[in-house]
Amino acid sequence: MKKITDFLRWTPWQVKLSMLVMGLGQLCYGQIMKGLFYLTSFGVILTYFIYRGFSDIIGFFTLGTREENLWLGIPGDNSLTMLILGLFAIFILIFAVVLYITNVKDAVFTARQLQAGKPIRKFRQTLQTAADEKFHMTALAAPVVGVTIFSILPIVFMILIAFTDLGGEVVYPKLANWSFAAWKKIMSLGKIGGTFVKILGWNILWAVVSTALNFVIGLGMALLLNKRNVKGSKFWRAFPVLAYAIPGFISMVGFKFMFSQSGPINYYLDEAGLMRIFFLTNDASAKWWARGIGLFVNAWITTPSIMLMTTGILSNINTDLYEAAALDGASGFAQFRKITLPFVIFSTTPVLISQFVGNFNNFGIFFFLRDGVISNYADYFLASDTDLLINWLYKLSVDNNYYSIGAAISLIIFVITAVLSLAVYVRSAAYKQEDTYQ
Amino acid sequence: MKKVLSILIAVSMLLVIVSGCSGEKPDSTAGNVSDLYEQVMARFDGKLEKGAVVKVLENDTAVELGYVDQLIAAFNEAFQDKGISAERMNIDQYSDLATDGPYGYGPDVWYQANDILMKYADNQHLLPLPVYSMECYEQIPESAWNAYATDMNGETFYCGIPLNVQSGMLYYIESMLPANWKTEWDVNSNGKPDFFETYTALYAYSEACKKGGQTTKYGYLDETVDTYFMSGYLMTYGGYIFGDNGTNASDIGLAAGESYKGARMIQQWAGQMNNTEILDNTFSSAAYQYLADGVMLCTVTTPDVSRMFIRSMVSTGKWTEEEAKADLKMITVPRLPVSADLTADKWQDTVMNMDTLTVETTMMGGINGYGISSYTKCPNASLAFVEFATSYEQAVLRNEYLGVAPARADAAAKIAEKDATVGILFDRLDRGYISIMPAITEIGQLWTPAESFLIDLSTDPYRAERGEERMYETDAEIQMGLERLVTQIRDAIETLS
Repeated sequence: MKKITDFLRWTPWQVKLSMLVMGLGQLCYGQIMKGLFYLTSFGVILTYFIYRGFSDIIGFFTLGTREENLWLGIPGDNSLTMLILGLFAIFILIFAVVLYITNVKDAVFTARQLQAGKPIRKFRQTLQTAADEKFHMTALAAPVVGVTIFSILPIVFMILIAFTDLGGEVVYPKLANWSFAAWKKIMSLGKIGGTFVKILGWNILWAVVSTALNFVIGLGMALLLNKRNVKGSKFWRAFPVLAYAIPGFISMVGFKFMFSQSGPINYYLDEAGLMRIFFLTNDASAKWWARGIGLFVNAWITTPSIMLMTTGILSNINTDLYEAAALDGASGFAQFRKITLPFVIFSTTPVLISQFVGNFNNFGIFFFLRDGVISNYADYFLASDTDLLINWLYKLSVDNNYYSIGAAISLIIFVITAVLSLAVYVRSAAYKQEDTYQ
Repeated sequence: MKKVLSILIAVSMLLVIVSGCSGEKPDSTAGNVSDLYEQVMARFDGKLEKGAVVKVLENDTAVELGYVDQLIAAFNEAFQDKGISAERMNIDQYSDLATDGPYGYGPDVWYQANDILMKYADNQHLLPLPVYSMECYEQIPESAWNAYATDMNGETFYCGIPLNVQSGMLYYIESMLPANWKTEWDVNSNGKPDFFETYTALYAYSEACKKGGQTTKYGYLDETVDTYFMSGYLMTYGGYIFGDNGTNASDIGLAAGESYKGARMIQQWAGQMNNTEILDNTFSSAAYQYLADGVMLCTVTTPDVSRMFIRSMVSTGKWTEEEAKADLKMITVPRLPVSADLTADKWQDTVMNMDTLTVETTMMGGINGYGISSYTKCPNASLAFVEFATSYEQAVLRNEYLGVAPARADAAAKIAEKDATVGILFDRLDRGYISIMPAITEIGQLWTPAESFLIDLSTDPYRAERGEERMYETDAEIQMGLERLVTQIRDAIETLS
């Protein structure tokens, strides 16, 4: 408190003016351009808040007070729009506070310069400072604004949606409220909570198994095709690359047809006098068939890229290591376990983490393979027994407009993938021994 | 005989116009409308919005078969001097009025089934229309209007104009009938194949097909997991979807009455067909070709896809378009056995004693029609388009292009002179054997649980073959399955509400 009193006692009247109206102090110091910039910004921001900013912030908290009657033509509020505009107004308010602080700091800086007997900085000098000693701030300004508008704002919006009752029957013109209902439904042992637990379990299993499977197959193919005694390795390498080059959804649609009830596999089973199998159909017996097919199709699409990546990494291993190991009597498997695997894992840990996150959120595989399947047999709520959280999220929010639950699940997915990725990364050799292979 | 039947149906249509259509409907005389009605209808002041372009969202088949282009061209020509026109939207363009409408996207006029349109009426995304002053009002039966009725402050409003009646019809190709049907499969000598008169006879014929030596591999083949068509089996024996004529979602009646008997027959069919393709919802699109290729003799689907069958028939090279049109037949679905067992009675007995051994089959149906978006900038131009598209001339033309049965009695009577099917459909609607799909939002929670139940039911015959335990071996187990289905639907409704 004393510091503030001392500061206010010390501040010259120009600084006090800047504290009252942004830019006035700078103008009084003769910093015309800078002063006009702050003053114009102050004017624009003030006008914005007078005309709509304040009401938008109030709307953010109320989410609307008047319900529109479209039939009688009585205007009303739109909760979703009020949430977006309110959030935007809050961001503008934060920006205004930051700008105000820089304005005061700048006025104080100029006052201190004068007190120290130094000349007041001209606008050109300010620009030079921005391009030189404060270049880091200038360079980062545009990305920070971009990230705020295009990343942070939508993420915060999504987080906020999770704390409303928007969706289901509460859609425009009905008004929404702030609510924990979505979280209660997920955390409760009701239909949504039960389905969430089942899907989460399968989702984690899927992410771990598919990442491991893709890595093992990809590395295996790379090792195999790296062997000198494999003839025409370039030719063989072309086949997985072809699978990689074909758009993923084309492969998925192809596999869906192959495993469908009228597809060639069931046709030949039928011709051979065997029972047709429910591979992807909405039947309890199809659960593990469909999951297995999903893993297979995902491996088909992904392993070529792992193979190509590990082929590059393998070519970087110093062959002297193998010669030395062989001289020491190490077997082929021991050489793989002690030299190849640590080197490859060290180099690929960040990629494996991104693969894990990608697989955890792998929307396409089951969206294409089992479109329209809802496994009511096991009390899945608006989900199939092969759906991942991301597929369920889609069905809840896009197919059924259940936005708040969808947003809550998005947040949970984010937390799980972020925590697992970070935990794995900080424990990995790639993080702990960053300099080892440099 | 056919001509006499057609004339009788046409006369009955006219009777419907004179009696049924105008009997129970609200008073439409100008002086009796309420203040609320006037307030709601204020935007329809008859002043066409100069320069307005009405965006119309129609269904795929109507677009594909050229009807929509014809309709829009005719409207544009008719309204050229009034300064308004219409254009077609693609089906995938902003077809969710609730999410797209408030932001200025979406159609002005939308053609859809009543259940889809009316789910938007609940939240006022569709406008109530001044139906009493429309030319088509007196021509459309009350049951069709009810599909678009909704309440506001205790007053009934109509948010759509019924255009055509949809319900399951049995399709077959006449030239694929067995050569001996007149001697072997017409025991009642009425000139109709017996297997199209009762499901018991159709089952027997399908069994004969299975043994080989018939014109087709299968007799009757259908997607037994399709709720829309299969719910008719449950309804015939006392089941219903929602109580109070489909308006009370707290009363779910799929397990009511003796609906389990209907479910038992679905299971019998699945076992008889012994084809896992019928468990997949891709079957419906494959059915056109299967019928044309002679894989099956008959199947049940809606009248609006008759052109798809004709197209498939022509694609085989065995028919010209005219020949295909003449050879493809669409008739009312057969009657179901009172015993609710497709093998309990001798099929000949069911045909000879139809009144005592069989009951008329109830089918789920829908009323497709036009609605106008609440977000339209040109309500009067949109209404002008809807009036034009629901006129007598366009209803007849729509039938010519698409084979659909109009909801207008005058158009139905005209078409029935040549095509008895349309008259039959209209008659079934009038007699209550078409149960109109409920038009409340909660209907959305019916389809997936019901499909899951039907899949379980239809795969049950395979479980024994696979050495798995059967789920629905007894009537009690089927009843429990239906009750579980009702619980699932209720849970879904309550969870999302």
